[in-house]
Amino acid sequence: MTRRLQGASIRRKLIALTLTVILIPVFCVLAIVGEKEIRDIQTDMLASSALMGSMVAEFGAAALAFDNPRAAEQVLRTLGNHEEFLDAVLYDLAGHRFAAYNRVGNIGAPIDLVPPAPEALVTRDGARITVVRPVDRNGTRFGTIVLHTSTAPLTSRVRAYLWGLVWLIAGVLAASLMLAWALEQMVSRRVQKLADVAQQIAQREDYSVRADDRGRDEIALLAHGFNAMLAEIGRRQSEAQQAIRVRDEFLSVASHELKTPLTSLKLQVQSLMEMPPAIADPAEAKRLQSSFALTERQVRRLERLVTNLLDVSRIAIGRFALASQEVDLVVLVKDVIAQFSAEIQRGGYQVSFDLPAEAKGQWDPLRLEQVVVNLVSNAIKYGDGKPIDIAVARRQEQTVLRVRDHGIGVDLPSQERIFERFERAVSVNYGGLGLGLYITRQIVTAHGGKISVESTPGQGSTFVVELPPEVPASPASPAAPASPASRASSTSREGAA
Amino acid sequence: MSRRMPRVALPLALVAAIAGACPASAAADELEYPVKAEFIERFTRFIDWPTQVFAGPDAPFVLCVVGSTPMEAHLERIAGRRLKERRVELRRLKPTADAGACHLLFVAGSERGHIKQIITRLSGKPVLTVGDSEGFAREGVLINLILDEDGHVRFEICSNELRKSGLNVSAQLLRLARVVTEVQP
Ligand SMILES: Nc1ncnc2c1ncn2[C@@H]1O[C@H](COP(=O)(O)OP(=O)(O)OP(=O)(O)O)[C@@H](O)[C@H]1O
Ligand SMILES: [Mg+2]
Repeated sequence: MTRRLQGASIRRKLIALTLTVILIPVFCVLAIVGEKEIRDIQTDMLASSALMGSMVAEFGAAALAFDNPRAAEQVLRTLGNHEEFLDAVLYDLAGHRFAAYNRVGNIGAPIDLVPPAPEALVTRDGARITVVRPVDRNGTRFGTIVLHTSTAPLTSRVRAYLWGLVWLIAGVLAASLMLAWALEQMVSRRVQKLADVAQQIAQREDYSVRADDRGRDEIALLAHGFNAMLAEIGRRQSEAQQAIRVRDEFLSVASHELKTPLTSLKLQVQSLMEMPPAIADPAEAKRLQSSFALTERQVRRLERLVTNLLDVSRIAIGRFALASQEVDLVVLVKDVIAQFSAEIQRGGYQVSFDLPAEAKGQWDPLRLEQVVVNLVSNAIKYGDGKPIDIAVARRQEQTVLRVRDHGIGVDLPSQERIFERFERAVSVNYGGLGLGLYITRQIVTAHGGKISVESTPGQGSTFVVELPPEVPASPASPAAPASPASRASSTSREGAA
Repeated sequence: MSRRMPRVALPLALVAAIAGACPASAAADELEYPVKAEFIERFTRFIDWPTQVFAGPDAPFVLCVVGSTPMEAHLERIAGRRLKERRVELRRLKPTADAGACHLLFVAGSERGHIKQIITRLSGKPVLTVGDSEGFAREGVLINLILDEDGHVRFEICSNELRKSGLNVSAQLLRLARVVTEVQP
C-alpha cells in the first residue's frame, strides 16, 4: 500500500491523505454513535412494549376486578393507536380469556392459555416482541395480560437511521473530496505547471519561458529557483552561441585568406616540377626532384586542411550547394587512389579493389571526390600499414562504396560521435582536425545517401557509403545544416567539450 | 391472599355465564350477594382514604351496616379479612346513629326512608357509602350496586358527593362506573 502510494502522483497522495485524515475519524465516530443509537432504539422499543403491558395491566385491573370484559376490550382497543401493536389477550386468574383485541389486518388469533407470569416478562423472537405481565392492584393479582408487538417499526426506524448515516457519510465524503480538490489546486496543480514548463523547455529548447513564481510558499520558492536557473542557462547559451559565431567567422575569414595564396603556391610548385632540370648532375637533379615532390605533397595536405575548414564554415552558414552532373564513381575512385599513390607506397599498403566496369550517377563530382579522399586518407592514416580493400557495387538503385582497412578501429561508443564536427577518437599523435568524416557525412546526406561505420577496435574499420542514382529534388534536411535544431545540437555538444 | 383469590374469581365468571343464559335462575340469585360483597371488598382496593381518618397504624377499618339486608352474612365474611391492610371492625348502626366514625357504610334498601338524613349527615366526610338499591346514587350514596340487563353486577357513582367526600378514587374505577349526579331537592 505505502509502496504503491509512493509511486503515485502528488495529487493522488494529497487526495489519499485528506480522505484518510477526514474519513477514518468520521467513520469511527459514526460507527460508535450508530451502534449506540441502534442499541438505544432497540431498548426503547422493548421499553415501550413493556410500557404498553403496564398500561393494560393498570386499566385492565379494574375491569378484571369488577368483571367487566367490555371495559377491558375498550382498554385493549386503545392499544390499536400504537403502530407496533399486534394483539393482546387479558386472562383472568383461572387462565380463561377475559378480553382480547386483535389489530385489524393482523391474523394469528391469540391462544387461550396463560403461561405463569409472576413478574413482567418481555421477550423478543424475530420480528415479534411478547410481553407477559401479571395484572394486579395493591398486591392482589386479578389476571394476566399477554400482548404482542411487531419489531417492523423498529427495523424501519433503524433502517431510516442507517440511511441517515449513509447520507451523512456521503456528505462527508463529498466535502472531503472538495477539500482534497482545493488542496490539490493549491499544491499539486502548481507543481504540475512547473513540471509542464520544464517539459516544454526540454522539448523546445526555448529558455526564454518562465515559471509562475508568485506566492511565498515552497513551490513559489522552487519556481523562483527554477527561473533563476533558466536565466543562467539562457545567458550561457547565448554566450556560447556568440563564441561559436565568432569562431565560425574567424574560420571562414581565415580559411578564405589562406586558400588564395595556397592555390598559387600549389601552381608554382607544380610548374616548377614540370620544368626540365636546370642542374646537370643527375644525382643533384633527382634530389631536387624528390624535394619538389615532398613540397607538393605538403602543399596538397595543407590545401586539404584549408579546404576542409572552408567547407565547415560554409556548412555552418548554410552556403553549401551541390552541382550535380554525370559521374562515374569507379573512375573517381581510381583517380583518388592515383593521387594517394605516394602515401600508399610510403605506408607500405596493399590496396585491393573490387570494382565494376562503371558506376554512374548524377552527383557533384568535386564533393564526391572529397568523400572518397576523406575515407581513403583515413584508411591510410589509421590503417596501421595493413591491407586496404575498396569496393564499389550496385545494390538495387543504390550505389555502394565500401572502404575497409585492418587498422586501429573505432570503439563502439565513438562510432556515432566521429561523424560530428571536431570529434576525434584518437590521440593527438595522429594529425588532423576531426573534420573529414563530418564533411563527408554532410556531402553524403546532401546527396540523399547514407554513411555508416562498422568497426572492431584493433581489427579495422569499414566505412560504407550508399548513394541514390541522383540527388533528390529537395535534399534531406541534414544536408541543410543551417537549420537551427541541428546547429544547436552540434554547437551544444561543442560547448560541452 | 392470592391463594384465596381464584375461589372468588370463579363464581364471578360463573355469574356472567349463568346470568347471561337465564337471568331469572335461582343460581344467579344466590350468587348476587356474594358477588356484591366481593365488589365492596374490591372497591377498597381502588379507593384511598385520607390518612387522618385512621387513629393510628393499628386502628381498624370500620365497616358499618345500616338497616337489614341479605348482604349482611356476606359482609360478615368480608369483615373476617383485612381491608386496606387493617383488621376490620363490623358495626351495625341505627339509622339515626352518627356514622361519621365509619370508613365504609353499607346502606340497606330498607333505609330508603332515612336516606336523605344519612346522606346529609355524611356529606363532605370521607365515608364511602355503598348501597344496592334502585336510585340510591341519585340520592347521594357514593357507590350504588346494580344489575345490568344481562344480570351482571355493575355500579353507579354519585360524582358530586364523591368529589366532596375527600376520598381518592382511582380513575380506573370511575371508568367502569355509570356516573350519576345527586338530584338536589
Ligand atoms: N579508418 C579509420 N580507422 C580508425 N579510426 C578512424 C578511421 N576513420 C576515422 N577514424 C576516427 O574518426 C575520427 C574522425 O575522423 P575524421 O576524418 O573526421 O578526422 P581526422 O581524420 O582525425 O582529421 P581530419 O579532419 O584531418 O580528417 C578520427 O580522429 C579517428 O579517431
Ligand atoms: Mg580524416
